[in-house]
Amino acid sequence: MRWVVFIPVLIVFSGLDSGVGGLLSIGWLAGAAPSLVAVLVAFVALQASPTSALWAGWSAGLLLDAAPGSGSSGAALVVLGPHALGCTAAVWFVLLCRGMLFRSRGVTLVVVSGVVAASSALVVASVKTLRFWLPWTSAATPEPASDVLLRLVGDGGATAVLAILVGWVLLASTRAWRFETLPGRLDYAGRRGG
Amino acid sequence: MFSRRRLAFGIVLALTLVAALLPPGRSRWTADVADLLRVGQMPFARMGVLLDDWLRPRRPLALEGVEPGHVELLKRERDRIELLFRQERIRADELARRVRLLESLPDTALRAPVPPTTMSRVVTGRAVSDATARIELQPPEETLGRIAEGDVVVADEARVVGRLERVTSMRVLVRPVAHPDTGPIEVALVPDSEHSQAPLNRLLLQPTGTGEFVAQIDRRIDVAVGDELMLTDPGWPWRVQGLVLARVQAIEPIDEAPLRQRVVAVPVAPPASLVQVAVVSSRQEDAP
Repeated sequence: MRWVVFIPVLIVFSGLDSGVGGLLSIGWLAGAAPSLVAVLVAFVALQASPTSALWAGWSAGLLLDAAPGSGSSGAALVVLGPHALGCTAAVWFVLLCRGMLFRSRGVTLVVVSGVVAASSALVVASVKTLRFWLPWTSAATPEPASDVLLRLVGDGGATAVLAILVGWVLLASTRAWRFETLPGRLDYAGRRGG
Repeated sequence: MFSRRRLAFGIVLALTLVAALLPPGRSRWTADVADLLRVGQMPFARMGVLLDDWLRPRRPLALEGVEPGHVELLKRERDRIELLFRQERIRADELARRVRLLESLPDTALRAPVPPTTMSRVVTGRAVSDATARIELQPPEETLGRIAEGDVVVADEARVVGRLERVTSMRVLVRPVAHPDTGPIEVALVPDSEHSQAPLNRLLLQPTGTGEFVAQIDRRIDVAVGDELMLTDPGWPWRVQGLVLARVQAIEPIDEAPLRQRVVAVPVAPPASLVQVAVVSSRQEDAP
């Protein structure tokens, strides 16, 4: 994978996520919002080598932790880690099952983007809950489980919708990324069948 | 090689987990790291915020969820309360001024059976530049019955203005001290020191009809322009004795009486400067 392509795109996507997060958030879904970074992570997790994909997921999460206005513990204290762990876990999950997917299909990227957003949010919520239970962190009370669940679903759904457009652009630019992996088994099957 | 990469990534993940669970006291450095990481994001985040503001203009937070009709109602209520607040401030200021005026009066005036009355509105149709013209006051309703003809009108800083000449329920006329009908007024030079045992230097001020007084005084008496003259006239209520009435404006020699000199004085409380006055009762029943 060409990191010189990934890093600028990641910076732009994470900045836009931070800036337009309020505009795209869905109030009745506990403030769920689509994430460009989740689409990018899903795209890389589907296409890149496992090591590159994991590092890409970790760096994307780190940038989300540091993003202005989206600190894990508010503006007063920046907690680096929850999103980094969340995105890494999401990439790991995608790596486990991507052999069974049509990785170069748009619909796959749409679904996986939603899964990445939801699983990443699940890990972030888990880390926040863990921080609350640890005696030395003095962390804020976590949100009710129902709100967290609603937002997970909302994040996943909204990101999947966003991925319809963004995923198409990313897939169209696959050649520029120079992914070193071969297509998955089912991609060959799809090509043979098609 | 591959396992070494995995090991490195495992260590990074472990450190990330530790960083995520650090106590706040040990997380100060994360803000600096975040600032560095944000450098590239900020322009795009700003673009996003601008786009957000453009697509969805912000309404004032306080008006979120409030009906437009209620907003108008709240605005009217706010304006009304602001007006009331301003009026109360004016009222409080006026009362404070009255208190200051009353505090400047001598204790004898405050201990009178009829306490001094304050009046804030000077209603007069005459030219204020005329120091001898009568002053017309609009008496507050609550003061009726407490003021009478002959009562002394005092301005702030215990300056004598004149005496009530006519009192009705509609208006009160004050005859200033410089009015010719007031007649001669006995005054004395305010001593330099309150502990001075020397006899008072008395003068008999005669209103000239032009807003001034003239008096003759022994040439040997030390008097200077600007000296204050206090009321010592037995014809005036004893409670206002000692209040300042006039100030020396000029000292002139008298050709036909070389041992005396003419003192020209002016009232210390000219009508043009009056905003608020107090009326000190002239009833004599509690005189010493």
